Amino acid sequence: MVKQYHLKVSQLLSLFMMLMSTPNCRYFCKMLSIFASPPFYTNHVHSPDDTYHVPNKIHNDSKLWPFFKDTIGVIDSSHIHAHPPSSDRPAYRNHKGFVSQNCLFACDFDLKFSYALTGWEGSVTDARLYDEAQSGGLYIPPNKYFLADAGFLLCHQLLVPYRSVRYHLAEWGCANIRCILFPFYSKLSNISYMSVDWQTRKSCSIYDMHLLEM
Amino acid sequence: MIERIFSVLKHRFQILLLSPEYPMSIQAHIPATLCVIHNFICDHNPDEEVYMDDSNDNEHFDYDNPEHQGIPDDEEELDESGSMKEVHKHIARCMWESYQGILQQQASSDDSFNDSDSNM
Repeated sequence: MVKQYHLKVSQLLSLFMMLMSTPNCRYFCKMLSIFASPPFYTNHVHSPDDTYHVPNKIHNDSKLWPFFKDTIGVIDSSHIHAHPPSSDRPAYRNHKGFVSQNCLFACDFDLKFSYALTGWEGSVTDARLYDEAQSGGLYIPPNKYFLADAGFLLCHQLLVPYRSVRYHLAEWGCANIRCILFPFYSKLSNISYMSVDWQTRKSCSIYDMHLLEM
Repeated sequence: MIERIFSVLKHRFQILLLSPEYPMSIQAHIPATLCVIHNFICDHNPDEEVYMDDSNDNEHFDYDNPEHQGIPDDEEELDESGSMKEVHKHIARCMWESYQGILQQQASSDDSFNDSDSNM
């Protein structure tokens, strides 16, 4: 079908979701459940295993290699707007002031998600989310770690930036050895954000169509 | 900077602002489903719409955002992370030495360039 009509995968998915959600939202909810549960979910979203290899992106960059040779990806949380029942609404109000669910995403350097923890109240902190993820299926191979931002704790599987350090080499004249880590750290960390951005872009067509049908 | 990127995207794609009135169990499935769809598209059509530009990566990350969220600022309180702190320091030290080497190389090349200028 792709060859015949030159449709992209995202367009096919949009069409499929639109057709399925046309009669009422019941099928849409069913499809969400199917997509977000095994085996479909586990086939496409899986944590790095013990045989993880460092991607060429890091291996070929002399500024990153061999400093980040044990890094397996980036982990961060993002607030997604939510509409909870009024009784639960205070718990879903986050520190930015709007009602949301706090979702934890981990992605590898191929810009693919390796873990997602969703549905937590917006008032939950990143560190709490990470605790839940650890007990809920996030597997990190031994001696490997994710990059994370300052909202997380420094622990065996997470590498966070130094706290209270100004990370601007040019402006501050490299006054501190701690400054050196951050520019390259942020270069890798941004993969996580780009991936989430890409996800939202890809999904828009699907959900816009769905809303139009409603 | 990161907050700006998110806000731009959420304004562009209204579904993330509208928060559809499904039960929370369904709403919780939406981001997970998006992850699966994203990976699915990556797997089956990896060449599709690759627009990511990481040339300005260093400018996107906002370290100073107030997302400490009650985490203790004092690293000394995190006893269990002692070994990770060593890893942290080791990486920083290695990168610092590498950076110093690059600076020295640049300085020596500048000197030789100036010398050649003065000789001319």
